[in-house]
Amino acid sequence: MKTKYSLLLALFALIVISGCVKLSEDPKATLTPGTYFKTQSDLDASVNAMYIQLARDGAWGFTSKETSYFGSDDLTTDPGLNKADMRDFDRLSGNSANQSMLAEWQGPWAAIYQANNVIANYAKVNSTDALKNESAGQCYFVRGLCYYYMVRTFGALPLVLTPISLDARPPRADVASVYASIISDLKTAKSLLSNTPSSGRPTSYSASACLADVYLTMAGH
Amino acid sequence: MKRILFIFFLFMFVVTVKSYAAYFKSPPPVTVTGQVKDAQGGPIPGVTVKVQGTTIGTQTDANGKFQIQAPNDATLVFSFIGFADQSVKLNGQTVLNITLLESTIGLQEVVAVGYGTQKRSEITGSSSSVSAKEIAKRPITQISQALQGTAAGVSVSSANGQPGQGPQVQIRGANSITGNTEPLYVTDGNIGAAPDDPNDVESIEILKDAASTAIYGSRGSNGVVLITTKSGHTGKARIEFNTWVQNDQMPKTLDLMGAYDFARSVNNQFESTGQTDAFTQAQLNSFRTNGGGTNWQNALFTKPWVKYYNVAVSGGSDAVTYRVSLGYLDQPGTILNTFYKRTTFKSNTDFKLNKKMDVKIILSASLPQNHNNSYGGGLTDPFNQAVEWDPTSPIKDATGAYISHSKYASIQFNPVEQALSQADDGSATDLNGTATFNYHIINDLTFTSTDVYSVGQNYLQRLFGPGTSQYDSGAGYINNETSKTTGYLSSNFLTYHHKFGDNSITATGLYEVQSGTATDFIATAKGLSTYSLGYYNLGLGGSQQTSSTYSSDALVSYLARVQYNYKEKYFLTASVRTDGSSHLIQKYSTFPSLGVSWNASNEDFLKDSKIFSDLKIRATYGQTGNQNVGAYSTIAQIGTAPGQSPGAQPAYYYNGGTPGAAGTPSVATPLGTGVSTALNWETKTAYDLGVDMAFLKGRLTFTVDAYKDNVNNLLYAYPATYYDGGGTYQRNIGSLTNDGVEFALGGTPVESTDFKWHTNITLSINRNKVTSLGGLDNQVVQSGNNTVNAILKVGQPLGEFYGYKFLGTWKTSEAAQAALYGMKPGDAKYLDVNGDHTYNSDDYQLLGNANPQFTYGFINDFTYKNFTLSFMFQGQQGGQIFSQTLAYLWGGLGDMKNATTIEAVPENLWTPSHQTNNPAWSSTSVNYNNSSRYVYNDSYAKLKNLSLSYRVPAPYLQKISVNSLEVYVSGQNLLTITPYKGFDPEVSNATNAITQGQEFGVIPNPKTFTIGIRLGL
Repeated sequence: MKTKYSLLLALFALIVISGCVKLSEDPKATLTPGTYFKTQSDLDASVNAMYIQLARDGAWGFTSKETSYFGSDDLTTDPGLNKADMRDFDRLSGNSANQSMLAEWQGPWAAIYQANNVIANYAKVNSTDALKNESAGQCYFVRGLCYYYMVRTFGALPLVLTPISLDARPPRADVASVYASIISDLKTAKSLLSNTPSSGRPTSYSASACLADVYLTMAGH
Repeated sequence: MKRILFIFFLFMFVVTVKSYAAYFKSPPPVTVTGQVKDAQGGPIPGVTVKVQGTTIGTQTDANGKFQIQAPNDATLVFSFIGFADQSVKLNGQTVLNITLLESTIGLQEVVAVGYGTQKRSEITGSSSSVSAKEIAKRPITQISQALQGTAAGVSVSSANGQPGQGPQVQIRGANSITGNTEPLYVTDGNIGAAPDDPNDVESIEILKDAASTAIYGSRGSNGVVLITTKSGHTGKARIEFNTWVQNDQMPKTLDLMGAYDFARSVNNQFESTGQTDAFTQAQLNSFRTNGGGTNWQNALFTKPWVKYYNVAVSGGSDAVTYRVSLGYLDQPGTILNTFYKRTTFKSNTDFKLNKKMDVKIILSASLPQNHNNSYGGGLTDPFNQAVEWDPTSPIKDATGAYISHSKYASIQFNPVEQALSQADDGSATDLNGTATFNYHIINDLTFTSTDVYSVGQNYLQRLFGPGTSQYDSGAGYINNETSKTTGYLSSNFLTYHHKFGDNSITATGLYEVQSGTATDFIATAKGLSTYSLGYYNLGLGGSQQTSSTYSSDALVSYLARVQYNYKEKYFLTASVRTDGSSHLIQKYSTFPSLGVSWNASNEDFLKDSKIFSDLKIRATYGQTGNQNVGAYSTIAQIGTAPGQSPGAQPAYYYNGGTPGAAGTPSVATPLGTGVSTALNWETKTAYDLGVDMAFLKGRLTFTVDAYKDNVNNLLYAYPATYYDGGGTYQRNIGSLTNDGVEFALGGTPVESTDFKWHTNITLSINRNKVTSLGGLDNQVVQSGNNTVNAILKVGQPLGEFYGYKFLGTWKTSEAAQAALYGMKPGDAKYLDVNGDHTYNSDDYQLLGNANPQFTYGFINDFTYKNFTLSFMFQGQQGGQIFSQTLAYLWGGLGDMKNATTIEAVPENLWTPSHQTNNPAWSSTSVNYNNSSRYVYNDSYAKLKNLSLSYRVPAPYLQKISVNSLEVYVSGQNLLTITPYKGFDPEVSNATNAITQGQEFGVIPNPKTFTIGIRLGL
């Protein structure tokens, strides 16, 4: 065989070899849990992601769905066109078809999901303990607060305090256990948070105030 | 890597073996010359002439002449697509004049089967072919259109009549709930690619059963379309020039109210609901006598001229043959300000390096360009507005400015203004190089390597400024988007073919890698200070957003296949393919197949049968998958870019700021919904039983196939619990079946010297059924138009409609009952399933299904001397269509406001004295769009093509040195027989199998008239 043809064969062989591909995936443009939580700014952005769940419309943004306040003399509704949802609660007759009821379920859970993510991962971030505690404290605070909103509307709730698998269906914990968890979260928040006021963020005082409210509400349970 | 080394050593082995090949000796060669003609005596250029049992071969030149060196005892085989092969033993002859006969059945025809070819008689699986001749009959612009009506079991619907949009193709039913159901295209070995210009295509082979497609493993379950493009030939250069011009128009216009009818309808509505008349008697009189207003359909629809040109030059020597083609298509759409243009280049060059090696190099470039050709059928689309907007309004006011808003139009935008003001432009550059190297190592063993590199660049520019509904609602924007894709494929296989005694065996072993990368960058500017620069300066935006994406994937595959036959009577094909994909955690999956067939006509008892010229019985089993699990589907993701792209997280403001106002937005990176790490391909297990029959020397052929397909691991966006982040994640949840029968009948009822009639009938019946949904039964699905009207239900097919059952109107006698619903006689009445006197989602019913009972194609060619008249009908029977276009004609948004259909004139509506089933205007009535009122029978028969062509006889042509000249006129979609009242029963804006049959503002397929010539020099 002439050399040129051997060369050609070798060239094709080379193409085949160069075509050696790896089957592992590297999503270069996407953040993944495996590579995240390295720096304080990763941590900050994750905490922001918790707040935004509550700020969205349908949760606590724009059209407020604070159903747990109704049925008292704190809040009442007028017969305006778009108040039907709230009037149900005002009359203590909110049911599953009520969109505010759905929002009251979705918003806090979405925030708890993000809070659990931070609480599970903040320790491994490369930053100062003070900053890390400040971040984690906010998450404990929001988690406690969200359970506090939900327990007043729904009663017994699944207690999800760590990231869980998609197939997990934790049972409802009774009201007393939920309150115990709320108090534990708020106490942890109180110990982790500083007392320097910062716009839009809780301090250790916020945790204390919230605890007071929880104890008042619990009284008699 | 180990396997790569193995292949490399195999190469080295092969090179060594080569030297032993010299032992095979042949008798001394002689030069044989001759000419090949058809039955009419015309020369056939491009006929392959081969010395049997060797790789020595040539092709006939423009005059059908050939010259070849062959051993004097050799047998020459003449083959050409569409003609029966002919073998001639030389026995010392050196001049041969051959007459090839057209094959009606083509059982001896060699067809592509994927990683090799086979004689049709040897195929154990189920496949259909489409030849270049068939493609040339119609002025098609996309290759997938060539599949329509020609093959049983292949459902092709031109779901959208916008220029440049190809049809949807589904082979033997849908195999996925929400994933891709289109077949895999393989062009000259390049997997996942289809050529743009149909004129470059030599033949199409559609593999339908799983045994045939299992060789493509995890990509085979939707069927495989193998495309072979045209190559060069030895002999003098030939130039082919193909061109046509075509006039397009809307297939019909809807019967809508004119200004007068609309005005009195609005008055009727206002009176019925206690308001004062909108139009005075004087205005009404003026509309009646002087007309006025606008016929929006006429204002928006156009009748454009579409132009197509293709020049191909081909020729070559014994060593090199080539074909180079250049094509151009200019296709304006049938509504204002839309077009598709495409320039294509393709060159196929074959090099014969020596007796044992040949290389084929294919280079192709495609440069499509489109403008406003992707309207999705939204409420504010001009096409929707053209049938919904106020016919009393002129297009422009006295000052020459567009009238953007109408007092009486239900929806909000002037269709002409919107169509002319927006710009949604795209241009792409797709380049592709394919090299196929064949090395005939020894007589029986061949090594083939197909290596492909492709790169694509796409640039999109959009302008939604003044004059568009987006701008009007405060969401005007411009954006630029660019994307780049690269792809690499290397298929390497050894084919061993050996005959011993009555046994014939072909074994194929393959190693293949394929990888691809895609990047995308998009920049959007909103709130521009001026839109006068169009989409060219993003810096003018009050706010800018950018985002980018990256995706890359890889597939590594191994295939072993054995094709065996005994005495050409008993055939067996078995294959195993293993695919390793980057998309999955469990990388490797294996897809086996087995096919057997019995060619009974080769048995002694049928050999001399006067009835059967062919009888073959086939049975196959196979497993295949699809690629509906995308890259990175098994990796949990963290969201990014707050507020940077639609649907992304808004920015969070700690100090109470809002976007655009004071305050600093903070970046939020929320953890996304989890992922299922156990994701797997949707896997199909399929059985096929078929019989091929030919009677009267092939004058009549009949093929019937019955199949049973089970698809498991169906993927669906499964809802996550709220404490797991809410949203949905991809999960394998269920299974479905497709059972069907398909028939193909071909015949040549008349065949005389001057007149020939050839006919083809295909009929396909498919039954689709969801058999399990993993606990997600009764999923109600929103279709693209925001109407909840589809349902996913165990025991039912995909494409099931869901909504209220419309019962007409409450009659006067039912006043008491109507009152229970807060309604009165004349209001719309629906079925109240649970009798709770309210209409809500508990009252939804199954309302029909998009799947037809059967589909069919009917093709006829009549040839008289040099004239050929062809027509093709294509149709379906028994399916339903859910038309939101027609629903909105009765008034949009469920408010019964401003109907435009002529059926809604006051005298057709309910009145106490004329109690029709068309609800009267009323403030207590509700017009639900998701009701059975808008479900229609979608049966249709379409005259897809009617053409008359004339081949100028050879004697005239010789005088002007022309080889061939054909002129033709044709028409597409000239006639549609259907009970459906909408624009086109064939269209749909379904994005997946659940929402099939849903239609909302889809631009119909045009009716076209074409005149064209084909010139060969």
